Amino acid sequence: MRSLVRRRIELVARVGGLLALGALVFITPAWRGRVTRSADDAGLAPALIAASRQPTEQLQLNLAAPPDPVQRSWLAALRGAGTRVTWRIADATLVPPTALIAERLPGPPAASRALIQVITTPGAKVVIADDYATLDSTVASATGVVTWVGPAPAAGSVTMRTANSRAAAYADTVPDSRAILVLARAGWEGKFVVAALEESGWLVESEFLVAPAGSTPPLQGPPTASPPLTGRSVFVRTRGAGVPIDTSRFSAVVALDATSARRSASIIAFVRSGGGLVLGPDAMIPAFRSIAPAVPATRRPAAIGDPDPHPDSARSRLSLRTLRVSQGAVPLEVAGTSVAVAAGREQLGRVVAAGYEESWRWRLLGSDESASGHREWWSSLVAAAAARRPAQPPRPNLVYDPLPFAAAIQALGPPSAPAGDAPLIPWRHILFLTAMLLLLAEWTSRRMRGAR
Amino acid sequence: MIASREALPAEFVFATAQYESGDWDSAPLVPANIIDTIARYTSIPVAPTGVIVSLGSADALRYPFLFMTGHLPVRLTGAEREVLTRFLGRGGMLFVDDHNHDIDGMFHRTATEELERVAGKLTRLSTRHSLYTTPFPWPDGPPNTSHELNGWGDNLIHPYLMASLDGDRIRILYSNKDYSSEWNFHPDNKRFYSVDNTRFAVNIIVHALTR
Repeated sequence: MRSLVRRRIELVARVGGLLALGALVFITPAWRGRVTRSADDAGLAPALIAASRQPTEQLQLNLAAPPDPVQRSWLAALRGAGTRVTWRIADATLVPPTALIAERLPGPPAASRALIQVITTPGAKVVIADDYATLDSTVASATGVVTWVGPAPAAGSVTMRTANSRAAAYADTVPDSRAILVLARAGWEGKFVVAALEESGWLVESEFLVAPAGSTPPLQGPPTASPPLTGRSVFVRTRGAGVPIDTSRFSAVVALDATSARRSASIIAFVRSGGGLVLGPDAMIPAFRSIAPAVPATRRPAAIGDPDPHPDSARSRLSLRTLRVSQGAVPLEVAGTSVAVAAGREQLGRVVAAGYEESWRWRLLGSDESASGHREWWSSLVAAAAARRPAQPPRPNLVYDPLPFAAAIQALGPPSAPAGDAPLIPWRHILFLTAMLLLLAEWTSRRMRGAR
Repeated sequence: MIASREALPAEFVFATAQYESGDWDSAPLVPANIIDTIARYTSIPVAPTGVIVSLGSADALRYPFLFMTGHLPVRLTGAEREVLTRFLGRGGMLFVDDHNHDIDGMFHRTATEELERVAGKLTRLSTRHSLYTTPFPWPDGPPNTSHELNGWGDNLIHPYLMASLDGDRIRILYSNKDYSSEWNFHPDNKRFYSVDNTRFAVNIIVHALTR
């Protein structure tokens, strides 16, 4: 009886051992024609090729930096095809999560400027470069932010390096070919606003009213080669100023006085469809009341006269129509306790109202820096209002990777912990050990009872 | 009227430049005549009287348009050169007329020499420049003066004006036409003219106010 029980136990041990061996064969990828690969940075490219040529059960990556966008896409494709991709960063302190933002600042097309921002770990050393040269090398602030403003990068491409992290972004640097239209009566303010904008690099069209229709009496005397200026309005226009005002031709209109009233309907439609409008104090007329961000209140007389040592303080001494800001608008500049410049939105467009009168006096009567101050101030007003051109797409061959670490996690899942490579349950070892123990026990039992 | 330091008029003010050398006040009726012309043909707000402003004073910067004339040699002082440099650099326009209508005269030689020291070479202004098109058309260039046609001065009709340009913007407009004589009469006397000979001044002022 005992012998029968012993034989049955031996049989169970043999069958169990063989089943364990079969299971081991079944779960071992190499025996099913599938392999496990591992690679570091140098071996990643060959591993990708090999994994694409031969079915691969698992690809284990031990990298110094996140894979680049091409490798990332390749790995994501392998993952989608069934390969288990695990990755980890060898030294996570050298690969801080980073973000790179690059965008063209609104401004004159001839002086294109860009804003580049890097977000990384506080105190990290950051190098910003474009296609041709290093733009800046600095240390991230306590909040982990680096902000750089300067000439637009060559070809729009921007890269950032910090430790082993590298990010690439694109700032649209294609200049906006649309013009700024200045409307005014012939006078110093219009002349010097046009001069300031042109000197800043804006394309400017202008329309100056010299004499409204019927405003001047006909000259007595016989007909002459030069007819008198009567019967119709007389304008001094640049070539492109007389065309309809729309966002395909102009990015902003600067209306300096009430002469713009005759085109107010088209200007309002222009603003509502995305254009910008800058209103001088004499242009805050009833025709623009519905879209103006402010209405003029009191007048503060000018104090400017002798050359002023500081260009900005010279502006503060100009004659000012203080502004009462409309609901929904915001003050952009305050002079003392009064609002001097305000801005608001009108559907898709923006309107800026400036209360300073005769700003040309700042340019002529201020210090030697006044001309540049006047120029930059007017350029900033127009830039605040001007319509943004839709961003141009990056170049096709540009590697665009502003969030390398986050993109790797999105594509491949989170990186593995350093000790996390081994599976939680080592099934192959368990099965092998089980098979060996069962077969050894069965063989030992048989030998001990004298059987073969 | 001498320019007041307190006055900050909003309208266009015709300013005559007073310089140390020479006879800057040789055409005293020109300002009133041009002011009358501006008021007659345009709606540009214009001060009823002109001002006289020292070229060596920062007060010159209050008036972005300056008129300068004379018969005698011109030698600018250091202060006058310095103010004129700032004036032109900040966008002012200087209109200079040779009251001698004579390219060999002392005013012409000395004035152009001084101006070129400040603003660089004066060049011939093309007759296609907008100065000759708006608002009055002058397709043949600057209108001739009776003094030129009568053979006075160097017995020449000067077919062009000289200029110092910044793009198409005139910084200095220099004339040998002798508009200082041509326009030096009381505005009331325009009624005796079949053609108002001051209309070219409208083009000059409008260019100054718009470019």
